[in-house]
Amino acid sequence: MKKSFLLATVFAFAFAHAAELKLYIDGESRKAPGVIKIASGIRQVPGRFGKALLIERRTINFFTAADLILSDGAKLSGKNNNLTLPAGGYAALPLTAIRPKSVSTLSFLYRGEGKITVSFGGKTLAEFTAGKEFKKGEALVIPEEDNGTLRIRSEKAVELTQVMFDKNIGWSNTYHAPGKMRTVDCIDVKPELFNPESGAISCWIKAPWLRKDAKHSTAIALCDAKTATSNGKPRFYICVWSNGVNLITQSKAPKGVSCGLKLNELPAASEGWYHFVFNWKAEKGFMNLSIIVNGEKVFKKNGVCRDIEKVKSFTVGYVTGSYLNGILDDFGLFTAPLSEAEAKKIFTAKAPLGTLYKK
Amino acid sequence: MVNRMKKVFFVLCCCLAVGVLSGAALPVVKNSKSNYCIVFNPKSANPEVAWRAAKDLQEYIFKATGAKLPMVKAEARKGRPAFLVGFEKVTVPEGFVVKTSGKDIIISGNDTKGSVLNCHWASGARTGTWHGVSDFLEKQLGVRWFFPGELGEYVPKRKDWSVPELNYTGAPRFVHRALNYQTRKGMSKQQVEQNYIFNRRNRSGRADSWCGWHNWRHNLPKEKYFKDHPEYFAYVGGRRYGMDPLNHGLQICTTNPEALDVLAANMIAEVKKRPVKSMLSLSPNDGGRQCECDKCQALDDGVRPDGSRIMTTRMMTYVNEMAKRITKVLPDQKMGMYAYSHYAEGVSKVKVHPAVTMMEVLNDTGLSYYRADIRKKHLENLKNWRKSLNRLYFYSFPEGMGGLELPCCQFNNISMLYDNLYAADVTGFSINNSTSYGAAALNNYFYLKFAWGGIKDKEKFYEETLRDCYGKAGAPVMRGYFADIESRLSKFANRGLKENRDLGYISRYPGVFTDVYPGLAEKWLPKLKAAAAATKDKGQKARIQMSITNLEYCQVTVALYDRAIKVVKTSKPDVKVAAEALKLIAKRKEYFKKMRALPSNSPADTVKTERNFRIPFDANVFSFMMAANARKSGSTTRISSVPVVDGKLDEALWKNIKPLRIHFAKDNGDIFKVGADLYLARHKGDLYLGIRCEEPLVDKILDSGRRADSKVWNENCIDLFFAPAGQKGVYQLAFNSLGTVRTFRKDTKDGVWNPKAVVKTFRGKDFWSAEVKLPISSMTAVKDFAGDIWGMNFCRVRRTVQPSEYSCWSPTFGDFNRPERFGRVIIK
Repeated sequence: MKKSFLLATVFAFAFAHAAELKLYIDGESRKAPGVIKIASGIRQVPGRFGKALLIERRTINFFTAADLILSDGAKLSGKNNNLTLPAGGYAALPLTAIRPKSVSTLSFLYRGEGKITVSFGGKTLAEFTAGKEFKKGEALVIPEEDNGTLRIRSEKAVELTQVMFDKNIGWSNTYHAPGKMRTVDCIDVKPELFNPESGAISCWIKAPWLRKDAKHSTAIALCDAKTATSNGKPRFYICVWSNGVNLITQSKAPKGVSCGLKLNELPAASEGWYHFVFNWKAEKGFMNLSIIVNGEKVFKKNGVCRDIEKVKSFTVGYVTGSYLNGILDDFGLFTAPLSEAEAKKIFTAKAPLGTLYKK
Repeated sequence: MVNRMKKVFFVLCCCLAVGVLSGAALPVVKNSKSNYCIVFNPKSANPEVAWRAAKDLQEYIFKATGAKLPMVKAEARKGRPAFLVGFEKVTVPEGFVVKTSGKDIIISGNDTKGSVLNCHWASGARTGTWHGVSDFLEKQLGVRWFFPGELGEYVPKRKDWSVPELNYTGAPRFVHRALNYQTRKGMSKQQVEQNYIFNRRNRSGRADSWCGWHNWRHNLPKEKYFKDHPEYFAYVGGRRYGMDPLNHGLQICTTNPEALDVLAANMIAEVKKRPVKSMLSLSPNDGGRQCECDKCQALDDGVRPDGSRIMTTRMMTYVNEMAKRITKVLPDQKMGMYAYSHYAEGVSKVKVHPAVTMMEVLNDTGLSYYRADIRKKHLENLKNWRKSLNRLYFYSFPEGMGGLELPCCQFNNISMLYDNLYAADVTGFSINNSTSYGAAALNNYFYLKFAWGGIKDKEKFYEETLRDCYGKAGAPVMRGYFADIESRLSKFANRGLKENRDLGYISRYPGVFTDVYPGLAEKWLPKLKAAAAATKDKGQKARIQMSITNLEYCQVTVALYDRAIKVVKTSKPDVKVAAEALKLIAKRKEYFKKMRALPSNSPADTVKTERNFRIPFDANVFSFMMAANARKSGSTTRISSVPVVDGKLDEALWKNIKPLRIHFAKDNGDIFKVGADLYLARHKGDLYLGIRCEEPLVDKILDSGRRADSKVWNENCIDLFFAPAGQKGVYQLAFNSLGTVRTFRKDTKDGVWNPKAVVKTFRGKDFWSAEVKLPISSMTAVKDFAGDIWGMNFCRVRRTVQPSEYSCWSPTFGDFNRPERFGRVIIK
């Protein structure tokens, strides 16, 4: 008992820290103290621990009947974009205003017989061999010019469903019916819980872009905070751009301070899950930032930072047009930075944050 | 002793007398004062010449010395020493005499009645006396007139001035010396006069009138004769050609004696109406399309490597026939004609009538004369012409058909030209140099000086000219600047030149924007500005400044061209670049205004030149690019039944297709009032196109081309372009309103394309229409083309109006065949 008490004390001491857990979104529920609203478009899916929140970007499925040119015998129908192709049949989607070098994704489920070829501008992008069961197919479209025709051609009779074409994204989101826009996916939080001068975020993320070789042409974001004078622009935000995860703070002057890591610097993931700790602390006119991935890889940066303002809004899963595009679990907002030891503890604990920290 | 003194005194007196008699200098001005006067002859052959010459004497003696000599009548001179102007008879055409006689200075020349300032080809006077005064002022006072107007002249100052004993004559080497296109619409009366005076002071003029304009259109006009006598006119493409697409007039069948009878009679009538006896032009019209009948072609001298025919003997035969007819009625009548285009080669098998002067044409000498092979060939050609002629003149647009005001001062180039002209015994020149003095600087001065003759040491002449024109500080800088310009032009010329034979010019655009002028301003502006700052003389400073303004204009023009190419030669123009171009256009306009406002500056009609050479400097072009509808797109409509291809567009299916409008002017995106609608459909493997061309002037459609090799684009035509997806090739199908079709593949050497298309046309009351069936397989081997995006453009040429209208569905801002400017069409 003495041993247990000692362990508990040590454990408690280890976590008896300046860092207080101010906000905790565990994904088990669509409500949490401090959360104003979780958008209806956000769905609960299996997470790292129990349930988690799937936050996807606003998209339109461009694979619509009106724009499609079908060969004789091919047919597109229903909300699920069911596409049937006879032997030698095709569906062609002409794209006349696509950004050169952007990344877009065609995705579908397929079954049947024979080969299915996806091409763009006459070049083959992917080939699939259909079988009895539905399988997922995905092809990235990265055009050289600003126009071209996307074509799905079948060798023998095949059936496709949930055919979706997402522009400016390098992976497929969950299927969305054609023509309509997915609603905004984000979590609004009470701004007074966020301290721009000192704090930490701990969370688990599983996302198709969290890969060393991920391709994307749009920014991805975890969260942002805006101030009264920022004119709608974020002063503090965590996002992914230039193929890296970045934590950026912007005071009034002189400029922002950022800390980041390249996606190809990611350590190995466990079943696709990554644990992130984002730390920030303003001290003596400097802002000190660090990112700890999976409890071990540490990236640090500091820079001059003055006149840090109070925030008037704090959003999780979205930063002006950019979304998380992944599954978020065990999101915790702390009042002070977490140490490397603490980050490692959380990563290795195999238990949700809520059991390690009490609010 | 006394006797000895008397002897010495006598000898001294004799010496003094001898000294006076043997030509001691005449002290005309001492300490800016003079007791000389000026007397001109009011009864001379042309009193205005004598008066103007006398005025120049008075003006420049005053400017140089400060002494104002009064102009008095002969009877009022009261024994004062005098300049006697215009009293002696000189018979050498345009010649003059300058001599001292006692204390008097005599200047007189060969003058005739006629226009004194404006050296008009028909009525311009000989002004020998004025030439004499100009020569005297140059030699005795160092006066120079480099550009028109006061800031163009150089007058060295002195308080004392003596004139040595003189007795010499002068006469021009070239009996015809003309600088043309020196004035333009909108110039003030003063500026026009300054130009004329500049020309005269530099001895522009002619012994006789010259006329070589394109006379056929005036004396055998198509409106009067073609309907009843098509046989008078050129046989082209299998028929007597009655269309005039470029508004040059119709060419004549020169072996039709009746046509020549009518032409000669009309020309004689024209000459008889003239108030002054002057030369008659025999020149054909511009623009090629000469007669292809057997009789005419039998006279030709061969075929050039490019397939065009050499027509010199044919034309000289015509000239002799005309001269025979005309001199029968008017024995003294002189005639003139240009030798260029298809009859530029001096290979005539017939000797030309002695009353005819030929003017050999070589345009763009400002570029081509840097090529040793061209100089050699030209000299040979001139000598060949000279063998068959009594008199040979020369003609050029040295900066091309209208310059773009780009720096081009070229002493060495002009010097090489005159070396050849002298060697070939050419005795006249007509230089069309409308480029401004800011750009061309001393070129006009050089042309006139060389034409008069008498330059023994060219290097000395050039050195002194630069020194006097630009001053001590400016001369070496300007020399370096001009040398750099010549070096760049020379390198450009020696890389290869392209010729337009029909119109007789060499392409310099747009190559000069990428190969000659980039970097010139950056290198020379600082040096020119420093030279101007270091120069005190007002005129010299102003002349350097003119070159500075022009160079700044050149810099902006080069930058604009750079933006134009970035915007126009892409299917996705960057609006930022288009916006930059608009700013440069505004800046350029300001420089242009500045250049026009300077004294003695006559910039060419650059807007017209830019249009003629399809350089997209029009602000409309860039505004169009920035607009939302800059990228045209459309699609074919899938049809289940096919129309009867008869050109009538009367099937219901056409009405169900949304048309594509052809109405954008190809050069700048303006919208023409009269347009065309194109309906685009597909049935299985065939494209069907229906085109309805609005035409309120249907009765002016004169299309006649029916042969397989007809140049349908010279008539009212539709031009269709197809660029299939994923391929480099462009396919062109063009047809006129008669349904005569020409097809081409644009990306292969032989250009052959035989699509087995069906084209039918129909003419209505106020329109003409066409239906086209075109197999898709003639353009692509791809079977699954449905869904593909092709580049296409649909264009029209409308020849019922002048100028002709060239319109597109997607404006190309240049030639029709610009794939990067085609619209996007989805094959549905």
